[in-house]
Amino acid sequence: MAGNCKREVAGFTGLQGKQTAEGMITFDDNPMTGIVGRKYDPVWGSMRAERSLLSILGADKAKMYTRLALMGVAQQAGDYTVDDLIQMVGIGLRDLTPDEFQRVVTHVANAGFDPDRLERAGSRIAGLLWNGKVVKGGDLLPPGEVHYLRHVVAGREWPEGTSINDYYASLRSTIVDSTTKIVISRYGNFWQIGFWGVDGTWVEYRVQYRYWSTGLRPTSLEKVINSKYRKFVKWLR
Amino acid sequence: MASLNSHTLMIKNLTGILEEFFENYPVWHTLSEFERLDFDTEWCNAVAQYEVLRKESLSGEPAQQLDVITNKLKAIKSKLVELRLMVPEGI
Repeated sequence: MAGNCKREVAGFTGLQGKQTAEGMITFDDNPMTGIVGRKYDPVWGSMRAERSLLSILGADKAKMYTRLALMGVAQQAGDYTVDDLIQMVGIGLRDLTPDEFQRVVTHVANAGFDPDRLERAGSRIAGLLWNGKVVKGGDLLPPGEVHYLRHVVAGREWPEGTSINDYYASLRSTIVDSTTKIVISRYGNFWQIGFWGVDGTWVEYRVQYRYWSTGLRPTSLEKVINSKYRKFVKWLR
Repeated sequence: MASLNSHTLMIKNLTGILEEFFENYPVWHTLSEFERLDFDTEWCNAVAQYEVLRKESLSGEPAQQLDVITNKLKAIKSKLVELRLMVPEGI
């Protein structure tokens, strides 16, 4: 469908809202995500019709995206959380002010890994000695410990002797470093902000969880960014 | 050129993540999205390591181990596509 036709189908106001929901909505008749639905007219029979934001996204997401669309009008008016700000930039509503940028960086640097979640250790760290026990692949450990064992102890991506606290401190210093590159993207159903340090450290923060999702020194960041699950990649710095 | 030590680490990582793939594949759709994405990140990095190793002139045991990894990757190519995981170049 050509751009002008898309606008005719959606209407100006509707298109504004739908563009903010990019990634959730498609300009086709996909029954899950498409804006093109069908209605029955007694004269003309079955006809194409625009589906509402509510019917495509559900009440909660429709409300959220409507709110975000309104934010685009009142750009400086809100008292937004860091997570709101990351999503707003990711969606393309607007850029961050310098103060907001600093808030985001400070918040993410202090977030750390989720202390309450447990993650399967996996084969790569099975057999390592950790907290006085030999790790088994099926063991459940906090994500911070799993990432430390994978990338520092087994992968030796950090210098020998790096403790788990050194590892966390290294990730924090990457986030706050003014030379670090920063990128927002949508990864699966999550908005994330990633920090790519000059020493090759990559830390990502996941908005919906409010914690770091990973911390490693990848062989190629390009590969990590080019995942088929990742879209709407936007570099901030 | 990567060092011999880093070759060994990459091969070890690839061998381990392939084992994790075989453990995860049958239960992929019961994993949380958190777990699937975590694995995807690690997989993308492993793909980069595999492609680095393929460009090196390995010999002896590392070369044999890389052949084993290559054969496993070829065998699971359709599963990688099905799960939308990255397929290494040359596979």
